[in-house]
Amino acid sequence: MKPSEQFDIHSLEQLFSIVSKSNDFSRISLEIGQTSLTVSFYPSMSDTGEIHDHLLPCLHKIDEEIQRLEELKKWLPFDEITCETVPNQIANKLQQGYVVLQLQEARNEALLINISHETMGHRTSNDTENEFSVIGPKTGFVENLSINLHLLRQQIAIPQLIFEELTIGSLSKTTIVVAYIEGLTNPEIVQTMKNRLKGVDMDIVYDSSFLEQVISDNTNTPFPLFLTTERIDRIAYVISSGQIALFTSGSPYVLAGPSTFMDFFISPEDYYLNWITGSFFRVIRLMSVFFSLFASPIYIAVLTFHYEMIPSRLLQPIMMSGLHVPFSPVIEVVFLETTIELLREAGARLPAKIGQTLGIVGGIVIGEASVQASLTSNILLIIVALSALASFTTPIFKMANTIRVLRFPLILFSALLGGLGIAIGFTLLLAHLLRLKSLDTPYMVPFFPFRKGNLSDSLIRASYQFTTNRILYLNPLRTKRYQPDTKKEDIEHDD
Amino acid sequence: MSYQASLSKTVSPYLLWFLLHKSQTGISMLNFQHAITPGAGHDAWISVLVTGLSIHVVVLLIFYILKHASKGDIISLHVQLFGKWLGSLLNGAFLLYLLMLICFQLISYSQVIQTLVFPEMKAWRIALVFLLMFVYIVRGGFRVITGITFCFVLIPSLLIVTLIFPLQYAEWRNFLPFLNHTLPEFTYSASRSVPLYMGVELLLIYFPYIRDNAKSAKWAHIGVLHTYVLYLIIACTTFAFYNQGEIKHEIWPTLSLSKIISFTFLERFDYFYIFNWVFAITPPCCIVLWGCTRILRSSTSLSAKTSLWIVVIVVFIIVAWPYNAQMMQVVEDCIRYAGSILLYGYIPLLAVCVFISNRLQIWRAERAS
Repeated sequence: MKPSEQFDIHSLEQLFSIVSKSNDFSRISLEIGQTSLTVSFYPSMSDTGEIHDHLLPCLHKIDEEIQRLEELKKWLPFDEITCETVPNQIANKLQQGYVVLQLQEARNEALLINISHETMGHRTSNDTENEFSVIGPKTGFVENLSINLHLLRQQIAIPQLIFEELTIGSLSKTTIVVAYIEGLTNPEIVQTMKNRLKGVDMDIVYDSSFLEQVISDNTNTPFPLFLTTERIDRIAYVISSGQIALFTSGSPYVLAGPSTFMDFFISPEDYYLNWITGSFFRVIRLMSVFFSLFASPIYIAVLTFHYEMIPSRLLQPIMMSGLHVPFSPVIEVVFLETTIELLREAGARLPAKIGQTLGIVGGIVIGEASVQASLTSNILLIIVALSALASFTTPIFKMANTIRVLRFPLILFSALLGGLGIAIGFTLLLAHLLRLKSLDTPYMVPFFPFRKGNLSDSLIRASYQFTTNRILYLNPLRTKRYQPDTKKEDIEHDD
Repeated sequence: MSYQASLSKTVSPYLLWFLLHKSQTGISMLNFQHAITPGAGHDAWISVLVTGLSIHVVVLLIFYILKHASKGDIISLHVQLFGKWLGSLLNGAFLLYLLMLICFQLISYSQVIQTLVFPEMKAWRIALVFLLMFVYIVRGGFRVITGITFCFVLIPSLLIVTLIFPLQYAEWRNFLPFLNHTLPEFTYSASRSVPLYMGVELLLIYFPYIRDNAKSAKWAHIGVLHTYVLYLIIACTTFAFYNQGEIKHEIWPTLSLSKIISFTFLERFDYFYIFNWVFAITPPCCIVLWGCTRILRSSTSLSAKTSLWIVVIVVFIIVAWPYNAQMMQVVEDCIRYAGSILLYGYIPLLAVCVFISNRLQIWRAERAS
């Protein structure tokens, strides 16, 4: 496949003739002794205060003859100064906010000084906005890459934590960082990830989610194949268990892979609570997934085809609530489910203050009024509202969306074939999940292929004594996380 | 040393347990009690057990045969032993047998659906939905089929717990007097319980896809054990719940057992049983379809996709035909005879052929040296 056309710079003359067309480019000429020195930079990208307070005064102070650019280095109080001759490199650095110094004699050479203004235009608050937890740290990643790397290094403080940089995007030149632990993460996985990234050819990388779709193993699936998170503790956990994290400059969301289906239903809070409550909430979350997927299909199947399944005492309330409804259960369900999706979508697009009003209008007014107007039955309203609520318990937003979308094909199946349709829909769903792979590792691990060593932290979160294994399927170079039997000498045992 | 497919396509040896168990337990589990009682009556469970034990021998023979196949499966073995023409002919016969198996599962299940749930629904609609689903699963490859098999052993196993409800009304004296039937009666029941164990011969095809397959015999025997223990549980529950006169009138005793179960929020639990059998028949059908595709692919130049669609269309045409009770009886008898001949006639014969050809080779080698 032919790669897309690149915007290459072939010589420095070409570079400066292009950039000087842009109004936010600035060029200053200085006389130093016999020679003249040009200072080129983008005021919009560089720290102009720094340039005027430190760089220019330093250059004026120079009182000896300068023959070569290298000699300038000792006069300048900056730590990142490099000499560069490759036009493309110089162009890239200039765009990042470096200041380019050139001597009149040596036009093909440039001295690059890092005075870029990295934090300019970024938000300063780094609270987690979408993945909230009551217990645990509240800080999340932000749009700035170096802050994100700093935050992660605070959590994993060993030199083996490796950040490998790549640049993707012919227009955006976005920096992508692959993070893993040397001597722990399986090198094959790192290699697979790097190969995938090398194959990417895009113009602008807007967000890590964009990248996720490009590098994912299967694009024809509603399921997210990489974990997307803004939580630092989550990424630290993921890396420590043998997975890789992928930072994208300009995105507060960090990708992690290879991910499994269960990863998306795990909340960091499970680990902050003790194992009994943590497991309980995890089971509740998994049950709510099933409820959310199958509640309305079962309602349709039972009321359309298998009403014998309803006991006679329950039949009366169900029949009474649906007595005046002129529609078949299928139309009723589709109508209500679509309404809920409308509310959710409108709520997501509206500013937070109006969103509140919308909740009241949508939830109370529409729901109440549609029952009053005999358009839906009360019981269905309860079921649909509950299953919408249940779908929001999934901690990762992308997976929650997937579950809501999957409800519609299941509704279709149950409307056509009743209980048989639900069974077939479930089988197809399972087959689809079994076919999926994330970075060449199966999605349904540890259930299939079955891995006993990781079961203690899947459907339930067992006590820390039993969750000592890293993700065994990924073949990490060190499989044990920690030694579980810490001696608690002060505890007296009654024998 | 037995042949093994490339590592990325194989599955772990312990999965042979689930593959073997699940390829045996399909649609026959619904009505075998009805079929076996005319012989040994309340003692028929012994026939089920004995037939199950005999399957261990069949598994041993299959392992012996496959150890000497150049590509580890029956397709290559036929060509290797009997030459290209006769071998291909035998492969064709095996393909026909597999087609019979899958058609039987689908026809029987669509009869259950038509009788108990959707009297109006035509067989072709049920067949179409099922076959499209099978195509999706089989296109995923052997690993996906194995995954489905694994999950669908575990999920329906949860239903065993519900047998507690009929067991509350169990009449254990139904089993007395113990062993008061003659040998021909036991033999009749045993011959009727052969369809319960059919599916073990699929091992002849998927064997190369098991990792370390030469050492995996343990798991195959566990799978067989699992199968007849399950049948014994169901058979004994049925015999304890129904007396012999009642079983004659129950077409699907396993399903009617579940009619006793009801909860305050659920009146008819038997629907769960009926729809659960989607999970029960999917894995054997998928393994069979996959096997058919393998045979077609290796004996002709068709691609995997084309051969799968050819098989599916053939199956669809057979299954979409409306069958009545007499025709079903004929189909059942055909399947039973074919299965019995294969398990107890052809596989031992094949083992003898392999033995002779081995001896010949050794003898030739000795004479050459």
